[in-house]
Amino acid sequence: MISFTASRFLQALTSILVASILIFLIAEALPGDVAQMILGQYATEESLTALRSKLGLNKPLHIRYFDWLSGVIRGDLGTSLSKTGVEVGPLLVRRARNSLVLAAGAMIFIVPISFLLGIAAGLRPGSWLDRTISVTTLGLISFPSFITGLALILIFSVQLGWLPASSSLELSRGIFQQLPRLIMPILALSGVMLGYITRHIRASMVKVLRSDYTRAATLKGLGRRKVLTKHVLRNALLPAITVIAINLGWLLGGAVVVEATFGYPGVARLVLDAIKHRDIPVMEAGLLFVVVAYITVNFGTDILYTLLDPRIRYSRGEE
Amino acid sequence: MTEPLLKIEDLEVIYSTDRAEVNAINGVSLEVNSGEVRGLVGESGCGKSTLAFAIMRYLDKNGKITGGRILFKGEDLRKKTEAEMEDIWGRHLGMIYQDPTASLNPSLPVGDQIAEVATAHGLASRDEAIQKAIDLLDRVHIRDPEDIVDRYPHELSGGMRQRVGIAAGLIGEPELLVMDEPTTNLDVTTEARILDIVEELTEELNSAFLYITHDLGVIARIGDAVEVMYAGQVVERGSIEELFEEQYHPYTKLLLRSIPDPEGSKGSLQEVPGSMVDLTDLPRGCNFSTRCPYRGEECFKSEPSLDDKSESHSARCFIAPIEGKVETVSESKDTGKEPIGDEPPELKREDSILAVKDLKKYFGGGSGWFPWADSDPVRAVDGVNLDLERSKTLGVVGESGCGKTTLARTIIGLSRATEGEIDFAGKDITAPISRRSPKTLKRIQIVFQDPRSTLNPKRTVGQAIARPLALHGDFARSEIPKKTARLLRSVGLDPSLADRFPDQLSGGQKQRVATARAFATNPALVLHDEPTSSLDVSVQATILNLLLELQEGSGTSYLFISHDLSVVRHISDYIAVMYLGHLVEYGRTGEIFSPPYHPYTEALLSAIPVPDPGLSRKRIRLKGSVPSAVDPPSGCVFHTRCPRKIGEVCESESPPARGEGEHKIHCHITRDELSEVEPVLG
Repeated sequence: MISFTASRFLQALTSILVASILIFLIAEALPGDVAQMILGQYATEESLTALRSKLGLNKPLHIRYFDWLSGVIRGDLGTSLSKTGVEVGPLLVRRARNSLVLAAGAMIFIVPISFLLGIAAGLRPGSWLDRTISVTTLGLISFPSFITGLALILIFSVQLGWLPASSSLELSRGIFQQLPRLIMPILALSGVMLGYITRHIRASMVKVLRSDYTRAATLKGLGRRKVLTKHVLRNALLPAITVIAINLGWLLGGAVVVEATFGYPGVARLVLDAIKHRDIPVMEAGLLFVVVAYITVNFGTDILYTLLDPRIRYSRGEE
Repeated sequence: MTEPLLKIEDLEVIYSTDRAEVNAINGVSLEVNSGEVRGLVGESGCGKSTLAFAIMRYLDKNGKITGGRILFKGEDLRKKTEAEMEDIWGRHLGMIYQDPTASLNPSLPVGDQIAEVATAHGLASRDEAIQKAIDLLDRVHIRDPEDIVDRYPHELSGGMRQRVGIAAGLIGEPELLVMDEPTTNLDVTTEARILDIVEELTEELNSAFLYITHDLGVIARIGDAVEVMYAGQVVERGSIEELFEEQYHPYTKLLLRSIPDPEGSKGSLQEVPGSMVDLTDLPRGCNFSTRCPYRGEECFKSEPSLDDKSESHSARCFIAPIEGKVETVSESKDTGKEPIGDEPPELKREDSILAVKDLKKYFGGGSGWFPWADSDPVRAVDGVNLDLERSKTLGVVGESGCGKTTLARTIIGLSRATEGEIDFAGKDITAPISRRSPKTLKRIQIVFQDPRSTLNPKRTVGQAIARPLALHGDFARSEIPKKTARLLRSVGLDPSLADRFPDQLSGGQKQRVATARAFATNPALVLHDEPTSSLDVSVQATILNLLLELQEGSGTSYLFISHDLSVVRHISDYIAVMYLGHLVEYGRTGEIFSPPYHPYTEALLSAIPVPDPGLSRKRIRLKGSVPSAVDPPSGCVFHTRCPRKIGEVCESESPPARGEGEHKIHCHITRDELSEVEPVLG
């Protein structure tokens, strides 16, 4: 187990390292000259050269990569190019916190509901309840989140006026005081995932209910309730962990559309804005955060899954 | 006379499918008394499992009991509610299943899965129940039961899982235990151990057992009486002694003759002609009339009833008793089969077609991410030498995990040999499949164990066979349909089946298609990896006969892999016995079946179920299961389980090959001493 955890950890670290190289190269490949962008169109050639050497832009590529990487490791993410003087570190932390709150809120909403719906549908496949749930979740999956988002704004902000249309947060107030602003982004984010996880659990329930060991448990005379709690649920819900993890990783950095629709200040929008303004340090830091978040969540899932599923726990040596 | 424990009267079960109604059970009446073992025998689709689940009142959703009564302890189970059945299940009516792996919850320790029956029925507290589970595991001869109760199913071998299943069936002390093919998926040796346990239990307990199997050999060993089922009816019933002495129903007679006789020799087996009657459209008259070689006019007119032929023997047949011996009926003979292959094989008999020299195949091992994660390799095949002549068959036998399948996969190139050499027709072909010449690929083919998973479900039979023809044939594409039809005919299938998908074929038909596909390239060597072990005994007979016939016509050599020595005997000229990656005995078929034996071969032979209840045979049972191939025992790899281990030498030195002519036994015991044992068979 320790050796497994250690080797998975090393793998995760390697993935992050490889991703950091890719991120750095992508930033390099972006068109435009950073110095030019900072000083503007009418800058003189001397001032450009001076700035380039000050920023270290004339050093060779690999040196600059290692400079950047060692900065990242020391916690120095540089300063923003577009917002003069703003340090990237604190900016990223603030945005990451916002993204985390959004992701956590979505998960708290999605997981119980999808489990409930999935189990209810899976228990009686073919029943009207199952069919209703199946059709609804398929609908949820089919709607892109910006459509759901716009629809939500139309209903709750424009028509009913219950919630603010913009979810931009005020810096001066803590995020928890601004919860109403989170409701609509969470709902918009949840649609697809709710549908996806529900359907996954339903399929898994149907499979386990048809399994030989469920039949064996029933014919032991355990009674329906015990068969379900002891034999069915655990085996049916376990695979859902992986699906949830993938979605969680996506929530942390990939909710671009929703963040843009509601003007929510999360990491995804930070990166998007940085790309627009050729703000290389912010973009690099934001992307790196997304990668680290995604890989960390998956690493955690691997470990958790191993602890919960005895088959993986013991048979690892035979891979 | 006391009331029987279970009394079934005129039971009828129908499955509704999209296309039609399947008449799975058509009026079955039978009785099971306390303390007896009643066998229920028949081919796949005869309704034996349906009957079992009907008794349990647990049919699939589309199955329905449409008539009759199931009286258990005098009460009709059909009238019970689900809640009432919950009190009966496990406590009064227990069940043991065919697939012990699928029937155990993978994420619950096995002890809990046994104990929960007792706690659910209020027979014991949890601690008492676990203690009971430990006692029961001990009773089914599991070593260290205190340790095993905390294990998960995947940590146990197949035989141990089935013993766990039996313990779970016993803990509620049910009056009737229904066993649905509990040994069908197991090795012959493991099966023998399980049957020993069942036999012990039936002697000790006063419970009744309903034992379902397709193998009459198994019933002969443990049954008191047997019911033979065909097309949802009992066609013959009798005490074990009488039924095996004389069979009144032609079906029973044919079924019994289709079992490969471990004392027989290479040659044709009896077949049950045709295939199971269509249960959606039963014939008028006798259900077996479509296949019966003895049928007369009356058989088509009315349905025979189950009549007493003696006090404890009855049969559903107008013709019975059938006088004289059964003529050999081979379905294949009268379908006008064509010889397989186009060119007459360039035969130089006695030539070696395959020579395997000191072959080793190790899996895994090497270094992980960390020095402490380094692992030893799995030594699947560890220094095997084999030689196969043209047009001959070499049988390779051994339990699961002995390396026989890896051997085949390495020979055909699916696995890369770790060490050693493979020569094919005098040429070194040790390279993996990607580096072999097309000519070599074409000349070696393989037929796998499970025809269901080796045929692409999205391709028709014709497409499956046409593919190798197109890849390797040196003829015009327009000829392919003709060649496909020819191949189908030569494996005894109607060419019209070319348009069918694998799902629409029976197991036996699928295996015929797989065989035709292997023969499409006119190979010189075909490897058969347990081609019959997932098939019914009666279907197995037809496939074995087909293989013999194809070999006679084409001169193709076979490497035939099986865990069942009696099957191998029928098809092989030479036999190699493998254990844990090593060859322990090699010789002509006759030499393997008579002393001197390798102690392992002797154990394998004594495990074969023989359909002769009167026969009392030597019982040699191996302890435990095959050790791990990661860390094989030192010296002779068999010493940890050998019933004839002579001492330290077995642990320290690898055994010499004691030979006489071609026959070689790898053992520390001298040949003379090995010769002194009594023959296991005959």
